[in-house]
Amino acid sequence: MERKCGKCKTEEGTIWATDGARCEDCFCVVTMHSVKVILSRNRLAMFKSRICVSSNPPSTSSAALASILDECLKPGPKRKASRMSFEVIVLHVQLPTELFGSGEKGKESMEALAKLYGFEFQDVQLKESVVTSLKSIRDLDDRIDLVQGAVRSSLIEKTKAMNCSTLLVCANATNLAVDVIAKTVKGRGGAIPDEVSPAMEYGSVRIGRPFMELSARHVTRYARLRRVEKYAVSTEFFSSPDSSLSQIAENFVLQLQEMQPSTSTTVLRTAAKLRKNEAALLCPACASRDVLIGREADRSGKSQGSEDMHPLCEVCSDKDMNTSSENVVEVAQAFCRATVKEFAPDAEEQE
Amino acid sequence: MAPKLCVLCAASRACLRRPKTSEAICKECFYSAFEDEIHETIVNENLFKPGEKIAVGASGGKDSTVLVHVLKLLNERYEYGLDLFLVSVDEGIKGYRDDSLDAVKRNQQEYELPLKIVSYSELYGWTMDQIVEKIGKKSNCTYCGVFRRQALDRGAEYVGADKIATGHNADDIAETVIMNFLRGDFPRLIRCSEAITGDSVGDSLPRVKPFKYTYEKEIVLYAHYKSLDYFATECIYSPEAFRGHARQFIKDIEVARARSIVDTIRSAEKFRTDPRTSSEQTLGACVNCGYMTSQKLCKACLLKQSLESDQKPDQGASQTKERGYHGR
Repeated sequence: MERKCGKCKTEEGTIWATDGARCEDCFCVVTMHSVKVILSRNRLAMFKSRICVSSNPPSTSSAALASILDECLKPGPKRKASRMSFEVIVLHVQLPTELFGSGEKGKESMEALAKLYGFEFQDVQLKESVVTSLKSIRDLDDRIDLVQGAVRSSLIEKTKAMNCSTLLVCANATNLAVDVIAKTVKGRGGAIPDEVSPAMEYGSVRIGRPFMELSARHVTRYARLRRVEKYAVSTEFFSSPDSSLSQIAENFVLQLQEMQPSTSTTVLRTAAKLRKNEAALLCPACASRDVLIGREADRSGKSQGSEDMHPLCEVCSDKDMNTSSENVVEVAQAFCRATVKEFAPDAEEQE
Repeated sequence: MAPKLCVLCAASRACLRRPKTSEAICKECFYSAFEDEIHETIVNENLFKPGEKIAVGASGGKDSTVLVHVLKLLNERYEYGLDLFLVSVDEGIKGYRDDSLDAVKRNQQEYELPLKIVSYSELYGWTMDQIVEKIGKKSNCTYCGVFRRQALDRGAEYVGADKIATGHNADDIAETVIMNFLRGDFPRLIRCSEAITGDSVGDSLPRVKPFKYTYEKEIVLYAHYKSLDYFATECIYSPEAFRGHARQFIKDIEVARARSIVDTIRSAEKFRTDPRTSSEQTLGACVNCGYMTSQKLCKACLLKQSLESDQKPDQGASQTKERGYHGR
């Protein structure tokens, strides 16, 4: 029996979503509408502004984000409102495979994608010292967290360098739900409220999550319809090893999602009710807002060439001296001046 | 190859690897570490005050048996000044509860503590066997949880207790944190990691969890090495429980990183609620049984009503603001 699209009522509904059958065009329109709502409500893409878009990891979500931004910029036959107008710069932090990245392949793919849509592409390189420190961290999950923190800090640095005030990331609802569970089991619960908001402030840069109301399945479908899936070179999620807590959390959420499709949205809705700790500082090592003012950490991230002390979060501080502690501090030092000093203006007043 | 020495005392031979820390330690050092950590929890969380009467929820299982043993030991060693009582709940599950109650009775004799047994059939007129026969195995844990909570309160009130001590361990609390995320139960998520709950709510007895940071595996090891008498079978109705998913997840993360169980609890301790969204409940007495409730009828009476009528039990969804298992 042919099922009609629930939106336009004329075409055949070939995609089954939670709110009914949709034809391909209406599905794309609904997806774009969801993204535009987040962009406009959170003032992430102002008229004639320059926005940076992260293409880490070089996954289906990154490809879909580039595609949807291109669509937002085009006038369409069905669209009555005026088109959005902003400049897009695609950023990519090249990570070696030892740091769970896709290396040169990921960079080339994202560069090709940016070129396809006429977006500017900027390659962001991590400092050699940071890469060495990250590779030396023995604990797998610590390494994952600090790599993610390093990627975030580098992207923020680059966004500022490009005179942009917005950085869009491709995290979707399923990614975020996995992240919430993973952060909970790693002891990073204090950072969760910030991570599940559609926009979070990092000093002069706002990080936006336009896909946060869309599941991974939805985004992947969109990418397939737009034929950009071929640009994805990594798995949908951060390519963490099977034995890591992040991967276990991912498998757990995906398994439950099969039985209960509302799992991700329920987790996110619950996490969104948690109160943000407005007074918390940014941890220079993991780039999460989980450093309580007044706590004296055993070890601190000193910015190079200055006497400024920037405490690490509890989880980053609590490292075995024989394994990763010195490397954690080295990573923190690399980002301390560029990120923490600006993002914690009250820290110096407190001191 | 020389036998490995205990990393703590370096004198005796190590006979086990501590699940919490992966340290190879001897039996005596394990006992000391285990008991000292529980004492630290009791002191740091201010669980007890001298002179208090404590009703220990005793099911005959490993957690409550070890709890009774350790509380009695620490009470004498550190002079907490507590009066300990045992309270046991008979849910009326043949082949399970009758055997575990025998274990509780043996514990009562061994530790010379007064025992009060409260049963579902006396309090509600239904046993769990009858409930499962009526509603099946899908929501039976909801009924059992609500009934047991009230039964424990009533048993503790009967013995004149000031607080109820339960054997909830770190694994249980970590599972509850994950479960409350999955169910979207935000109020429970905020309070589930507290070592004392219910101390500011109406007339309910506060409940304390001395095993808040104690691993289930270590409780099992302690019970094994001390040759404690307990009943070691899972409830016959539990395999269908939703908690099973969270439990398996906790087991998986424990294998990857042993400290992740305590890390989960630490994360939950950092969760805060926005005062603008949280709402205080006004508690009164149930018009039927007098138990404290924020509604006209308490949850147990609502569930009992649904059992006695031919209607499909709605678990009080229309009466309460709690969200059901499906989170919708």
